[in-house]
Amino acid sequence: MKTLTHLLGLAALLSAGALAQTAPPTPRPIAPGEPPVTLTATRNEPTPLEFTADKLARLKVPAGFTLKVMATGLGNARMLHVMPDGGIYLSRRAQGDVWYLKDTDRDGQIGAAERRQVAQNMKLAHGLDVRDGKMYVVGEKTIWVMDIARDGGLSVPRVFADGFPDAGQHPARSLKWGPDGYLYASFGSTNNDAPTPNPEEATMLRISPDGKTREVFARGLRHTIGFGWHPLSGVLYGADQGSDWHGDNIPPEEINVIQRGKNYGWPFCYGDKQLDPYVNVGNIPGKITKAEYCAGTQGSVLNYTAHAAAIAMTYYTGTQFPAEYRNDAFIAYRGSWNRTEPSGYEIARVVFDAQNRPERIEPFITGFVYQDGDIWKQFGRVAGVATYTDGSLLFTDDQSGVLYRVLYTGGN
Amino acid sequence: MRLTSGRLNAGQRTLITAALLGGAALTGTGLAGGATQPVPAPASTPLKATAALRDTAGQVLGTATFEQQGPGVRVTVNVTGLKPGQHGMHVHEYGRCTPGVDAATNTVVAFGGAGGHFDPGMSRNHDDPQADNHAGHGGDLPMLTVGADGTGRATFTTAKVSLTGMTGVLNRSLVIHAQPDDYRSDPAGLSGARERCGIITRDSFSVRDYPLPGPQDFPEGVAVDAARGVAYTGSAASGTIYAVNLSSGAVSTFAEGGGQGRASALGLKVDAQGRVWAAGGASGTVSVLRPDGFPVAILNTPKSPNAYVNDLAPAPDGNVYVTDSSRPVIFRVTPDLKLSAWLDLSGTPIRYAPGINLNGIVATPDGRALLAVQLNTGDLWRIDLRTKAVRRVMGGLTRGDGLLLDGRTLYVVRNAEQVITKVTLNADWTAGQVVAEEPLNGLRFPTTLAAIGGDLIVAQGQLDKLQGGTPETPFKLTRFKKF
Ligand SMILES: [Cu+2]
Repeated sequence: MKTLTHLLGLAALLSAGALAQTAPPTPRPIAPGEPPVTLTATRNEPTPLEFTADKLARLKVPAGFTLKVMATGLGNARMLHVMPDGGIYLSRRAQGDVWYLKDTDRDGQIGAAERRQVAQNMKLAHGLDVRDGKMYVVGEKTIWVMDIARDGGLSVPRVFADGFPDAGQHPARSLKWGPDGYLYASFGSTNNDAPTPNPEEATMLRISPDGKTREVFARGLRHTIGFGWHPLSGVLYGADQGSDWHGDNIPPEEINVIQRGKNYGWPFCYGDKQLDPYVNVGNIPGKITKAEYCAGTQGSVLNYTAHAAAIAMTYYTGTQFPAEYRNDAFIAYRGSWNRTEPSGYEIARVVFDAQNRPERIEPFITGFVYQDGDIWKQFGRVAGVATYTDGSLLFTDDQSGVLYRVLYTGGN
Repeated sequence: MRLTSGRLNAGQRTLITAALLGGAALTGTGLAGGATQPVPAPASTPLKATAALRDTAGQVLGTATFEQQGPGVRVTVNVTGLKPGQHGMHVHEYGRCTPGVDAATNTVVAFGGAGGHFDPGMSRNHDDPQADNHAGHGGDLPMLTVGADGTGRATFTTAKVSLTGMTGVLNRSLVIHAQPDDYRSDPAGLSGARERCGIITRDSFSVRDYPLPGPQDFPEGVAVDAARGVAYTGSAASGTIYAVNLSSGAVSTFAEGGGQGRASALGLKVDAQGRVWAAGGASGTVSVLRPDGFPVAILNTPKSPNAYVNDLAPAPDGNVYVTDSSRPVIFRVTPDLKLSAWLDLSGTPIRYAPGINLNGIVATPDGRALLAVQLNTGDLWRIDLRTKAVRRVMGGLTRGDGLLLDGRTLYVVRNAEQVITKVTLNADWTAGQVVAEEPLNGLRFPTTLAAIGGDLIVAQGQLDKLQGGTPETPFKLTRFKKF
């Protein structure tokens, strides 16, 4: 050990003059070794239960808030987009379609006559966003565009951009128009925790307004479905899902500041550039050490309980909730399946401080998962989240097809 | 651009004369005849080099000098403080006298950064100093004999290495080991620990290196935007394009690679609007990037498993001409950014053969012709822009990769040959003559070059290491005075 210390000291001495800038890691003739590590991983999928009204009492909301069910029987209800007139677009990934919901009679319910399928035959249709009277939807390998009719109907989908990577394990694609007029779309990794074959996997892509060209905006993002620009700071934040099967607490769920040309570390590094001990070092390009690789990546700005599985993220821009909520973010954590004590199964709030920096993540709506004797059970896998026109918060359960609405009633 | 097997002349033989001063006689001294390697064109200044030999604490305890003699090198070594007896002595691959990994034990050892023995013949075998470079490492030198006073001196000439070309040792290391060399055992003749190391540095020749930040950058193209004071360079491995500030050397990511059509970046050019053009290699594309790095257009050539879009040249007619190294066609991109096949080469004297064919391309400033080099045959071709007539300008430019035309002077980067060749062309671009050949201070599979006023800048691509071996980091661009 003494010798090694001496040699490394010498390395620093000799290289200092040779390289004005930080020297890149030195590729090795052979991959570096790492000590063995053992882990205990737990598969724990809480028993799924169909939503029934009697279970509502299990859900916990902060004081002053009320939870209502706006619709049931929606199928694989995933992402939401609310129009200024109160129309709600809903994507259903398993069904590959988009529905239009509108509470025309203003009774707080989406009745059978107030819902209709407006687009279909889009494989793994998921993320959706609207710009200049057109609806954009992303599925496995394709982004479609549709014209929006006055009655909320959509034209037959046209291909806007194509040739995206295979979905593999992470088929929840997402997209949003950025403040720069470019379309941002995230494409998760096909696998759990290894370098991907297609360099457009595990990335956020930035696509030209006409859909014809695109670039890799950021990489090393395993599955960042929820992302968006903070309404005041304009900073792009994204919620990334960490690898599975690395134990109860590794890696945590991340909130990242996503910047052009940066690498966010997956699969080798998590959180604040921590080295994931359960990923093979031999797969690192250039046969450099994990520590060298991670030093060249970007760390997260906030972490949350491992495996909670962030899906949608939205900033609260309404006025119904108390002022402290304004411009905070809500994230739907769909819930874990490989953690001893389940995580997620909740809507969480990302609290931003006075300087508009994310300060902490705290539970907002909980109670979907519970222990019944020795058995964990759950009756909701939350996915989409959006602010409704009246300033209430909408979210979906993709398991039973429920649309929930959270209202602030504390002032009355 | 890409690989070549880097083979030496089969008839090449080691030429060693050892004149040992203050030591016992060198065993196995001999003169092997038949060196057939042609004498290279002269460099801009005589090829001489020096290595200051340090111990593991960094103290200089000796010197080695190197002087080009025909195809070989005369080496003089003078070192103190060693144990009396014989010591293995070799040229190692990398110009780094730093600790580094010994692959056999996967541990860090003193002077391990110098890598293994320089092996230009890809012998993968340790042998004696008379062995042909195919049979043994080119860097296998005669042992150094150290006298009772701890001083070792030797002077010898060897044709196993040179200061230029494929066997060039500039910016590599001379290493003296603790033990004798058995001239047999892999990888280093059981010669033990590395006790002295010196980087072989060219005398009286200065260059400026711009190091790149990644361990896998493999820079292939280089283009200069003088107005912005940056050089762009693109990775053949990832397609990422960097912007390098030419005064500070600071490197930033201009455009991340890996997006559709951008899996690789080969030839680069900057146009009058400050847009960066990138040849997409096997992805078969030509990308046009805005000055902020976003792609304005990603143009596809016809889909093919053999696409090899290698280099491109803006011409005075406003079009950009594009070479493909495996498909015999020159593509053209018109100012409205439409790509089409411009010239089918099958009806011309240019015959595509296995390997890499047309590569570097330039347009003559009078707008009359394109000049393109065929890497595998070493032929330079003139293609008339009006009549499309094709004629051979000259041969002998094997492994010709990037081209730069400066008046009537054509600089040809020759990747596996590791030199930049200066050619003077006649007035109608129909004939040329080699006037000089520069290894600078050592080149590692250089690929392309660009001009910065009176200077040139070359990308040291190391693309030979894309398919195996370990590249030397940092990857770099190297700036030097026109010669
Ligand atoms: Cu050696």
